[in-house]
Amino acid sequence: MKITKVELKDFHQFKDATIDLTYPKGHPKEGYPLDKVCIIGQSGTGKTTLLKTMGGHVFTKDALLKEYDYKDFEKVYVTKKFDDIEVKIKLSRKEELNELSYKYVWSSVKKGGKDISFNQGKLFQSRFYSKTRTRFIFFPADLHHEFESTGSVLSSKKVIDFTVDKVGDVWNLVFEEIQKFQEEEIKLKQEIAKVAVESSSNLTAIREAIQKLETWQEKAENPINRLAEECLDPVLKHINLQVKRDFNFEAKSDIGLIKLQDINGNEVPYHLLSTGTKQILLTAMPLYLLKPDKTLIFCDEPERSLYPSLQKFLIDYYVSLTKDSQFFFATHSPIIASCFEPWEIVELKFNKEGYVYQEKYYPEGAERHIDNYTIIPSYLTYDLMLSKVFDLPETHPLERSEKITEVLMLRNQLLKLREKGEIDSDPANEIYKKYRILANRLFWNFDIN
Amino acid sequence: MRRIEKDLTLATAYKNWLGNLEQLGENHPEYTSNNQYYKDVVANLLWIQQGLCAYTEMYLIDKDKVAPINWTLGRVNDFEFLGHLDHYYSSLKKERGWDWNNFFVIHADVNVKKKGKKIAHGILKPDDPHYNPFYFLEYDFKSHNFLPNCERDESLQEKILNDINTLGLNFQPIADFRREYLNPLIDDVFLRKLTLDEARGRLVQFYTAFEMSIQSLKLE
Repeated sequence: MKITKVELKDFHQFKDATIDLTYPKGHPKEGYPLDKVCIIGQSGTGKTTLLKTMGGHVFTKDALLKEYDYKDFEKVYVTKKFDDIEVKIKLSRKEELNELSYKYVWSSVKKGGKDISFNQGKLFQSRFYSKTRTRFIFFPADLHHEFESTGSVLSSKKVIDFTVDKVGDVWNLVFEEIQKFQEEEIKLKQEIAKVAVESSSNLTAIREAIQKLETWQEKAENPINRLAEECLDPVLKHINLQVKRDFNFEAKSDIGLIKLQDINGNEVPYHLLSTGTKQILLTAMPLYLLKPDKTLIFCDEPERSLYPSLQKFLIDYYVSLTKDSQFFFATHSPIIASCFEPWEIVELKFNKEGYVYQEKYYPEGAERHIDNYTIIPSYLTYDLMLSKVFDLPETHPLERSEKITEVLMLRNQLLKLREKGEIDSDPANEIYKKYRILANRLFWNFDIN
Repeated sequence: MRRIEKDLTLATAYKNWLGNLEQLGENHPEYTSNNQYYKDVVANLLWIQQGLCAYTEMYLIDKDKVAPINWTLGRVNDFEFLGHLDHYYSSLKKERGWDWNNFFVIHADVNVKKKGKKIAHGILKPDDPHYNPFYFLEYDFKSHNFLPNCERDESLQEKILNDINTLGLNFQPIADFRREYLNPLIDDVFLRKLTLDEARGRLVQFYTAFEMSIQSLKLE
């Protein structure tokens, strides 16, 4: 089930906004829900609120109702699509036995664009859900960094909200497998030791015991290796870390928990990992271990504590860990935003009246067609991303502008002296010296004729 | 930055008020945008500046909105405008805050940047009788930066450089906008999709930068 449209009328700072979340005309996936969405906008425009509201789902309902009144949601609709069924959802209030309850209800249901009955829709929905496991995953901006476990079995939950659920609980999904693997390995190694102690002269018996271990190692799939290769090492290599795969099992703690090491093989305890590294572990592992398929995944500020080089590939990395899911990111990072196609970006802005609207990247009145988009993030430098998308007119300090003027002036003076045949004169050499120092400091990033 | 003839022919009420102050040898009242003549000064300046920022030549307002027809008895009808009223020599703001010769209307971004510690030498003062942009400046059409004219002696170039920076002529948002505005026009002339006169006819701002670019590219 993917979201195709959000309509927000008289909802807090949104006066009247309709956000189309389908691929535009001219795109090979025209009309289908976007696979990933990036919400950007000034602080206060409601990125996180929109992220939560867009879900139109249960896990943020209570949180939203703490911040807003029910009446705020009266004109808020979220349209979702599964197969060719499209349902329009809104929040509803019900009073029964003097108790108020809130739930999301279908205000309309269509199949192939035509209205169908509620019961028919429910039937199709239950068929669709039978093919899915986790329906929603939400990563808040302030993800709890302790890798604690409550014993909750996340794989059986339809809705996972890491505001309340513990990331550590995803570890349970592989814990038993790793534990079993490691125990078997210990057992086989102990067998070798036992043979060596009891029949030290029986080389054949020792060889057989070693052979048994090697055969097992060849056949058995090490779950830690799999987790390392398919999930963590591709990202950890960017920060000179890797999953520790060899254990000597001297300590009880060697069994079960994943450990990281630096490129020299020195183990790095979890509490000494950087905030950014923890952030990656705590988001990547649930995505990999929960194996989201047809899942809505919401991620607030994915760039938190991450160096630009990591941010750059983060979005593709997250998407690669999932199958046929729909991602929603809210971000302040131009690097993250540059990973999206223009139709995948929802930029929120305040208008003169103080209401929030969506900035469109095609001319007003023009058709929402791929050819009409004027801002294409993949064509832009990060400077241009900042100025054209994030509305930061100054992408470098004032002093740089002044120094560029100065270096061009010095160059002109040198050109003039060259024309006069005085390029090797003492005054020219003085100017040349100043010019080269300044040009180097500007990394020669200015135009020379 | 174009030469500006500083005619004070519209804001005559302000002119009389200022004249009386000068005649009586009184100090100027504190400079504030709440002063009754503030908009008159702005409107008169915008009219003689052709609706452009006095320093960067960036478009600020349709000059017809402040044309003589909008004036009655030396006072202008109310109007909306973008930009700031600038004191060229900020040191005079306190004692002679209403000095006509020290006033220009400029782009708001430029004014914000001009609040720094730099002091203009006055070489680049648009109303100075000796000011001639083609004498003091040249334009690097690749970087879209104004530079000191390399034909001038080096000490004068240093002073011009100071004034370029003080007046914010190459302030990044302005230079970026200048590039985005001028490049399509200059390129159309270069590719002969437009004649030079047609391109000139389309210009509403950055006239000096355009002419200097055309000269550099020998497109005349």
